[in-house]
Amino acid sequence: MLKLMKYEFRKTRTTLLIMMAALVALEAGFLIGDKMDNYKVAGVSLGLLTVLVFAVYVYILIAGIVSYSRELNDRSGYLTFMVPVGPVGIVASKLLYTVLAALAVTALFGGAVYYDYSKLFSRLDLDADTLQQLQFAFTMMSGTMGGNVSLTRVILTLAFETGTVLISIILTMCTAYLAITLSATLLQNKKGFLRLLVSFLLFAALNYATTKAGGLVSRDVVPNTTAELLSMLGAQAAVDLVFAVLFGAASAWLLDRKVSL
Amino acid sequence: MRDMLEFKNVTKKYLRRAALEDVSFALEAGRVCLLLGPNGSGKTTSMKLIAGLSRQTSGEVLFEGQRIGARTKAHIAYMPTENYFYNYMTVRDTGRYYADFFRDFDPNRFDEWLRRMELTPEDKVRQLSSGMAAKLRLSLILSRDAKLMLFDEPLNGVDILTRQQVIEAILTARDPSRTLLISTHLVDELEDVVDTCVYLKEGHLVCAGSKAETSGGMTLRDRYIEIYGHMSEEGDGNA
Repeated sequence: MLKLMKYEFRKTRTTLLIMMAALVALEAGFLIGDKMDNYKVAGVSLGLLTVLVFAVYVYILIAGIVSYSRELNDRSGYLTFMVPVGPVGIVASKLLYTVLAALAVTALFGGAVYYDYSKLFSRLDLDADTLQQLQFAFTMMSGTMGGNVSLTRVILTLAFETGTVLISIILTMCTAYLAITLSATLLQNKKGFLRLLVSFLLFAALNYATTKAGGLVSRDVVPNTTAELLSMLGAQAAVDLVFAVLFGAASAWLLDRKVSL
Repeated sequence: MRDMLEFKNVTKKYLRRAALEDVSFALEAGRVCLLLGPNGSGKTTSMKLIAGLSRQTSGEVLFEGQRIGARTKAHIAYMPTENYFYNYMTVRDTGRYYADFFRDFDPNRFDEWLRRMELTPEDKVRQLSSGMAAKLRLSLILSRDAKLMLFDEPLNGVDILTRQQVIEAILTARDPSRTLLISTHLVDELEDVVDTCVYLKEGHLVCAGSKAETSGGMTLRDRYIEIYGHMSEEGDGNA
């Protein structure tokens, strides 16, 4: 599985390097602007960097889905499916690589963005109104945590929310994989727009089903305490995780039993 | 002795079209077997089923008694008719890929085959001619010690001189513990080396067995014409 992940990286290496170079260039633009007290350059660079980090993150996820689809439609799929790796390993390698690559780039440059904003705000002369608004926002946040902000609770909530977001990303990937694999199973050796359309429709239908299922466990109330918030997030995450595992397993089963390249 | 490869009532349908219909045959280890039939007879479909790139609609395909899967792929080497490499790959990269995944792949033997086939390791695979690409696919499969080697139309797209080189290369893989399964229209070149023949026609099995059993005393060429010759006559009649 790790070897397959290596080749997933090799396939996308050039594009990743170009995107990373662009991110580095924008970060360099910010640092230079900040050093020379040129806030226009620093601000523009930081703004573009923020947008680009999000765009790169989305691109990596979409590229991962497109890559999977291509391998079921293209002869290059022979390379993946001829090797002595089971279908679970094949699906898992593509999923893990895509999610890890997206998270790595986002964490690295997202961290840089966070640091840059902190630096920028500390050097800006914020007026009393702005400070009051920031304090109010923080108070609202602390209100959802029972009015008692502690470092432990902040870390716990952030970690929990990060986990639920991660599970949500994995669910989206697994839903896409299942839609693509189902389409390949139903349409056999038919390729082109029809297969793409069927994949999209199946993805939409599966998404709708998981959203409905998630709605069964969510409550229509604003959480007042940390415990309530974590309980609500936890229930949603559990449902997402179950569906992610089911969809991933179903994709692997179809690859093993039904799909023909 | 258990057969190395078995097809048991295998049917493969693509939507409504049957590429294979209730095909059954078995191959012993150590044989050179020809899979024969015109275009559309089911040869490539059969090979893909064995290589694990396709799944039968019904029936069983067994390798040494096992269902085709990750375990069997470690012992089966497949040479497709088309190029199947990633665009970024060089000739050298394809060898590295095989070395990564197949324990029986010998990098030194691969280098030797590249020399014999006059292939340059640094060349991009997407820039190879069809003949050179076929030589690369052949070099990869011959650098493995697989128990079953599948050559799908290995002489397609190669010139006459290269054709002989390819056949000689394939025959170096002959071994009592290994089965070679070759699909081709060019039966003359393999007349003297083949042990077993499987004849397919429009997805159905015509006959399978030793060359003597299936040829009825004829040469492969004459037997091929006898089985399939009327198909081209019918085509001319309809034109």
